[in-house]
Amino acid sequence: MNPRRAFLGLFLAAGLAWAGPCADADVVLELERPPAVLGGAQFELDGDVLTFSGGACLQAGGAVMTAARIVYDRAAGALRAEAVSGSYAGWSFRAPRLVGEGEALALEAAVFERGDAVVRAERARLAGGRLELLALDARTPRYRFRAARGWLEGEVFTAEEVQSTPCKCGDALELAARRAVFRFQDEELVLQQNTLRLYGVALARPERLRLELDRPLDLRFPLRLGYESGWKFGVEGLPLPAPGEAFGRWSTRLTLLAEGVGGALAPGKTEALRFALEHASAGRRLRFGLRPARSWDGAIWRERVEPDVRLSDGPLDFRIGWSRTLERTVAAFTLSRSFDLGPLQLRPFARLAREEQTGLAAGAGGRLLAADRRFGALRLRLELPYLLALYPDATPYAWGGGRAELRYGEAARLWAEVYGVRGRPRYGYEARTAREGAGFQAGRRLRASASYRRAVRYDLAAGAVAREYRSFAAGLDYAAGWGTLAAGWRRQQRRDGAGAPLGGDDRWTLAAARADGELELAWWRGWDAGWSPAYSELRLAYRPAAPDCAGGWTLAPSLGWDLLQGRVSRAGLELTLNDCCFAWTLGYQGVFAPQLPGEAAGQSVRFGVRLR
Amino acid sequence: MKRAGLLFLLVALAAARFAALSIEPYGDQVFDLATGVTTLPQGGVIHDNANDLSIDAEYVEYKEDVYVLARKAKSEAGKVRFAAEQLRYELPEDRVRLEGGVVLDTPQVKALEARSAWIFLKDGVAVLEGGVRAMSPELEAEAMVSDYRSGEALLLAPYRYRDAALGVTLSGKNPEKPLYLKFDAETGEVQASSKPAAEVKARLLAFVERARAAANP
Repeated sequence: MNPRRAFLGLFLAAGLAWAGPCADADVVLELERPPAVLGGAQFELDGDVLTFSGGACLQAGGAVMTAARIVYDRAAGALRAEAVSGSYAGWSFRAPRLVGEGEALALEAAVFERGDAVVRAERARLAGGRLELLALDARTPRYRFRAARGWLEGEVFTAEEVQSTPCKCGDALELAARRAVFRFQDEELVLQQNTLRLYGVALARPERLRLELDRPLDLRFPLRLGYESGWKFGVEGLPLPAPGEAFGRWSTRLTLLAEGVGGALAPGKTEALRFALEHASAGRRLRFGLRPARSWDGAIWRERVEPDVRLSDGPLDFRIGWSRTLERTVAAFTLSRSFDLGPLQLRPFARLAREEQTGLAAGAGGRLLAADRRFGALRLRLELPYLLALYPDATPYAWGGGRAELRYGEAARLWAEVYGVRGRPRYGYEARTAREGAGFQAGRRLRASASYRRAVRYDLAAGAVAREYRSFAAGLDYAAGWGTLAAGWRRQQRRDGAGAPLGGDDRWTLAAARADGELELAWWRGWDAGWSPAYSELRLAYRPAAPDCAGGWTLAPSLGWDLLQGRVSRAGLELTLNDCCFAWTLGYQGVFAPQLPGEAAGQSVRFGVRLR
Repeated sequence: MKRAGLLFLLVALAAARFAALSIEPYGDQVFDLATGVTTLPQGGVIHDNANDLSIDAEYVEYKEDVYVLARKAKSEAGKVRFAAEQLRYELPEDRVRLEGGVVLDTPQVKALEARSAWIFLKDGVAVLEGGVRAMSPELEAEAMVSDYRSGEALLLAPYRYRDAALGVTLSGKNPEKPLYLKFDAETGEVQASSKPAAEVKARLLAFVERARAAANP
């Protein structure tokens, strides 16, 4: 081969040695201004107008995109493409139109997607290996933010004049930042020079905030206001941000709550002030709380200070609390850790406790998965839960049993369980109920279910069985095109430790649910030890579904009718105002004729707000 | 060239005239009576008035009404000029075979280079093969077929074509999809397409087939 031929061959080879997906197209075109590579099945150059069609491909500024048609007009100096989609730096994007602007390519009304994150931009410019976005709106499952401008360079996205909100819609709670830097690898958004606004009013101006996009925000509304035999107001779980902490993931929270302020003086009325400081970080929890309280016993105020202290770190747990049944301070120090040994779950523990009794306890609990087999659509599962506790000065306590479940796909389920005890538990930590039961569920559109349960509650103070409960239930559910219809019945019978009947109750319910709300009609009736009627009440309640993003208000009324006395037993009304970002709730509940054991006549008002 | 008994040495001082060709030798003219082949060892200029073709070469050998073989030849046929290491003009077929260092000038493309080419004089079509390359406009192709009268051409893949005025470079690797170019000699405008009219594509590709068949009879 002569030198000239060799040079020619080299020139040809170098010229055709393209890289990138567009290079494999039937016809490939390099554009010098804007610098781009186009590929496609069909190509046409007529005078000044250059057209790629039949699935055109465009590679420019680090982005690769396809379009139905790409047109370049030399006279007008314009590159145009319609229905563009492609990828850039790990993002996939689509836009109805692309235009060339000198050295840059601009996408109009572009949508960029990466995982769950979606960024919309009125205009996106690709130039010099970087992507600039104008008037953008970004959404992740946890956040939305808007920005006047943004740049995507490698794994870093920088935005200016950012407005972000945790609201699903609307921006009543808004965080405005001068600048935001988002690192995709760390899933972390750092906002600088911020202003936190609530309904447009600036609440705080933090200099630097971190948002971790993979973890949900904890934005519990901390203000409390309500009335129930006295006013309840204050803050609960109010975050105390520390420097450098991620927004919505504060580790320290304060509770200061006044309870039972004002209202009529009646036996049992309690006035209290609850204070608590909580700190939680990396599996460690520390809570220090006190609740000075006084209760009216009909003649005098009985005063006390209820402690609420908890320290837990890994296997260690220390608590000091207040027992309402014992009316005294209880404390416990527990050391426990869980081990998974294949089908056996083992959780040994050692405790020093001061409850009804004081002393040491050690033992282990857990479960053994004895069988988990499939025979086609049929699945059998047998579990054997157990607990054993040893005391230095008392006989051991053991609890255990088994639960078997047989499923046939999603169509049918049959279960039975039985648990027994031996010995007496000394502390609440290890006390379990002896119980048995069985039930089934069958059907898909029309589903029938029935169950039986019997359980025994142990009185730790008396060291004997205190109550026995038996319950029977049956239900029928029907899933129709317009919603669901459900009918149910449940009967509970109570007996004392010796087996003598203490009464019981029946609950019949009929509920219809649709997408816009649920209506429920119920008949509750109870009887005493001698089977004479204790109460009989008809209840009607309507619970509307929350409206969509448009906001609006809903009313949830409820009414009870005492069938024995022939009068209104209870009435309630809950007003919810949805302003897109928040749901504000004001609820009223009045009990005029007490029905259930332990229920007292009275009225309560509850105020709440939550992020939608 | 030296065959005893049948060799005449003719020294011509003036140009000899034939029915179709006019010969202007630079030196000797040797006629082989047995084969009817005339050789111009010092070269010469040959005119074919029928096809308006002239060949200027350093060595020429021809047989009346059959062929003209020229080495280091420069040639002109109407508005097309071409040069090659070896040129063979086949008179009955009105075609020219060029081999080695082919350079072709058409009204549309200047300094078109290739390893070999066929020129079909009656049809006004040139088929170039092997490392086809030109500087104005800039192009490269595995093969090219050019109708130099109409200004239409096909570039066969792999090809590369750069339009300097437009600032674009086209390339293709699919042998099934040649690039169609149409040059407007007056305005200098170029039309390019990967999907020319079927009859145009079929007509031009037929010359490629003819050229390949003629090269490997």
